[in-house]
Amino acid sequence: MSSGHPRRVVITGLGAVSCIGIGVAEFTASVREGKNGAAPITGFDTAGFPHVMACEVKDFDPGQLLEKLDIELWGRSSLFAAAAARLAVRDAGIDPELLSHTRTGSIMGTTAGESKVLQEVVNQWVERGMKDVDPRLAPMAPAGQIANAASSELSLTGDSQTIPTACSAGNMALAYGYDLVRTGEADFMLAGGADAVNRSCHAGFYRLGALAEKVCRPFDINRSGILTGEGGAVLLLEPLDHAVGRGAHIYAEVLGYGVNCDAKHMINPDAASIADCIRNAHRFAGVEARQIDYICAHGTGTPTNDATEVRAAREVFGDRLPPISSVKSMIGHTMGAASAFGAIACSKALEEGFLPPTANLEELDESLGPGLDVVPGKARPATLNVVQNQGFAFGGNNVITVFGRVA
Amino acid sequence: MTTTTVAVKPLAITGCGVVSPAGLGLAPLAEGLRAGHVTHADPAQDPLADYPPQPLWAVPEFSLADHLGRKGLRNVDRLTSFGLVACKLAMEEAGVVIGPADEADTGVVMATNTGSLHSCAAVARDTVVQEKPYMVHPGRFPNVVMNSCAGQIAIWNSLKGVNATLAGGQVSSLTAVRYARTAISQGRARRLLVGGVEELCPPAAWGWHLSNALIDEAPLGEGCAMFLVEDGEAVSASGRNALAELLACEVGYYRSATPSRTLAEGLTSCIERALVRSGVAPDEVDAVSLGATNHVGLERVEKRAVERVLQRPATELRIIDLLGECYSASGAMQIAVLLALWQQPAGRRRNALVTSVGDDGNVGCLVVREC
Amino acid sequence: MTETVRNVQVLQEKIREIIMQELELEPDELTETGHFIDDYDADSLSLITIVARIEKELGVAVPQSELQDMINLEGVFTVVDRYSGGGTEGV
Repeated sequence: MSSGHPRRVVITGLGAVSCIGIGVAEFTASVREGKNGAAPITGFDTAGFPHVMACEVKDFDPGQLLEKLDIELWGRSSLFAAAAARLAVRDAGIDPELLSHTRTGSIMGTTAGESKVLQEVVNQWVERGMKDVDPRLAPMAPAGQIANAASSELSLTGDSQTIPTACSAGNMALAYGYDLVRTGEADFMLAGGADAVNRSCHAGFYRLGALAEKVCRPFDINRSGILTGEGGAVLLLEPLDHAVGRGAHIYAEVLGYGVNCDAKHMINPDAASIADCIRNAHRFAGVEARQIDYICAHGTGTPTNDATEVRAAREVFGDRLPPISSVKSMIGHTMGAASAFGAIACSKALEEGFLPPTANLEELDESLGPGLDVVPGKARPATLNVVQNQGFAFGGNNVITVFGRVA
Repeated sequence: MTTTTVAVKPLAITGCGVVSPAGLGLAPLAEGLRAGHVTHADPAQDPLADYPPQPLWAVPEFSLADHLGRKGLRNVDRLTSFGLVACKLAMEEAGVVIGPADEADTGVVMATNTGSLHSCAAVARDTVVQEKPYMVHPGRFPNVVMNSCAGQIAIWNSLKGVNATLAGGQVSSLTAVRYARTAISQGRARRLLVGGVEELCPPAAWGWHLSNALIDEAPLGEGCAMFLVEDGEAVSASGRNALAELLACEVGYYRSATPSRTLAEGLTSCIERALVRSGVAPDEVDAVSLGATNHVGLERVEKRAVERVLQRPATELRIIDLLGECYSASGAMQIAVLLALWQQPAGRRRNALVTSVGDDGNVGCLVVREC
Repeated sequence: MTETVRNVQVLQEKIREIIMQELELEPDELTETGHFIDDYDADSLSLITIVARIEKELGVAVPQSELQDMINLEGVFTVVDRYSGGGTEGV
């Protein structure tokens, strides 16, 4: 590994393609309002499904957002990633040529990869047999294409890496991008995640009893599960010195992250292990629990997750539980993009001074314990200095990123 | 700007486990190298679909229960079974037993581009053909996430350290090595099981067949190769033996919509960088374990880049001739075959390149040194 | 024995089989009152799978809310009976 001191890494660009807004300004305005992006699914035929709501991105026009990609050659998840990456670069006001001439790459998290491409392959297989499936779908299917789409759009030559570690993948991608820039393996990194609403996830979560019927209500006594969501969320990671040198607008600093694995169950989260991950994150970020001003929760809205997540937080924070809210209440569970959307919300929260809200709350679940502030309804003004962004996944992968305000 | 010439810290391989069309372990690979070929098994009939007319080299049938016991195997799909067995073999070889003190700092880094495509396709198919579209198998739904193999390896072995899954096309296994180095150097793990896994199934085979990315009659393989790795200095300081050292691993992407360099130029620069950072001169390279054999166009790209850097012939390992195309696991198999080759001592410390280039535009080069 | 009784027996036999498979039990290990979680090491995923298979293979749809009563074989028989309309459908 490189010698020399690891350098400080900041976030200078944000790109969001979501069901509540395309572009960071629209996304942030919606988050502040506690906007609920759920609607009846239009991306696939829902006949036979008892539940038909999801958080799809409406009016996604990749041709409008992208400058270089031939959109016929990429699946929906890849196009989300590339569009969000392009938006992040524009937002950062950085010269795209600088990125393409330095060691810069894309690290993208995903849960279901190019799920819609795979579904199309399967639909054609069932209709006409394997040998008559459209051959153009084959190169579009591997998950690696999601990071490649962003790299191709921006002409990047560094690591082009997809990290398919399910619902904490966005954080895992951010963590890796941060490490690569920090150690000098890369000059800049586009990091985030992307996923598309798809039949398999919708069916699977319904079958597991984890899919809400109409509304996702994290922390609510009547919460009944997730709504699936989709989109692309990408952040530009830049060395602090370089950002300062070019007079860049800095949203926040990446202070560090914690990562571990429950190693117990493929689906059920483990409070003790999550608590360990929180402590791990604080240790690597060089902060103490009392410094955390806000927790951007994994907050899926299943009975199990929210209870486990709060229990884990209490283990670390004791009586002093920071405000904790769920972005998923607004955009659904965007899978591999989820913790990247959380990071975008955290970046704006630090920059503008507000607590993102939990939407759709009607009655707080008392069994989650006393002193729980889930910031119900709309955003609340607050000066935040250090925040943590949580992601947990099938397979027991936990990744928690920590961000700090840059004065 | 970046420290692209800075030396890397070697990762020592203390154990290696292989599940391949040659069988279990390095021994059948070594035997195959000696004999010049491997006797192959046909894949089992698949209830979902027929295979395309293409040579298919399957992992010979083995009993998972023999390795893992009778219980808890119900929802372990075939891809995951490869990973579980390969990890078990790697840890056995290294003589490692994970106790409570080691759990937190031992992790897994697995390369796969699709996870179990078989499991994913089965779920997707069920949403279309079953009486109700939600009648998918809940116990097998978790297998749809690409990190389920790595996740189950962690569960079976109680590994609580960083658990990563990486997808980078043909170069995936090499990106796993690269990720592992960062994780260990940044204190995220002391020890990692690193490798790649691939599974033969009708959708994957048809994907290759219809894409025409491989020459006619190119054999498709499958399997998993896993390596237990640790910081090299820590291993030698503790007086332990290593099978080999993984030195620099460089990657890049060269299929942009508006590319500045060709794939061959990109791979050339990767190889050069990898050698510089490994402190190995081109004339010190004894062998090249190739990854793009049988890939239309790419086989020549790979050869050209290697020739340009080495400027002289080196022993070529065409693992695809022994094991078939192993895609996500190809880089890991390329390393394994190298280790099998090096079981015959040569009286000097050998160095080798493990190269990879994919149609998607990713390229990579890893330098491996004998111990 | 009546048609209905025989059908119920067939249904129960199939349920037994599903549970034995999902909980990895030998025939003599599964008792009517053995607790799935406490005695047989089941988890929520295996219980969900059992319910899903009963719906798909035996045509009896049991709502999620009934899961808490289906914690032993006796409980499963009772709940399935409640929702199967006489135990003759889907067999």
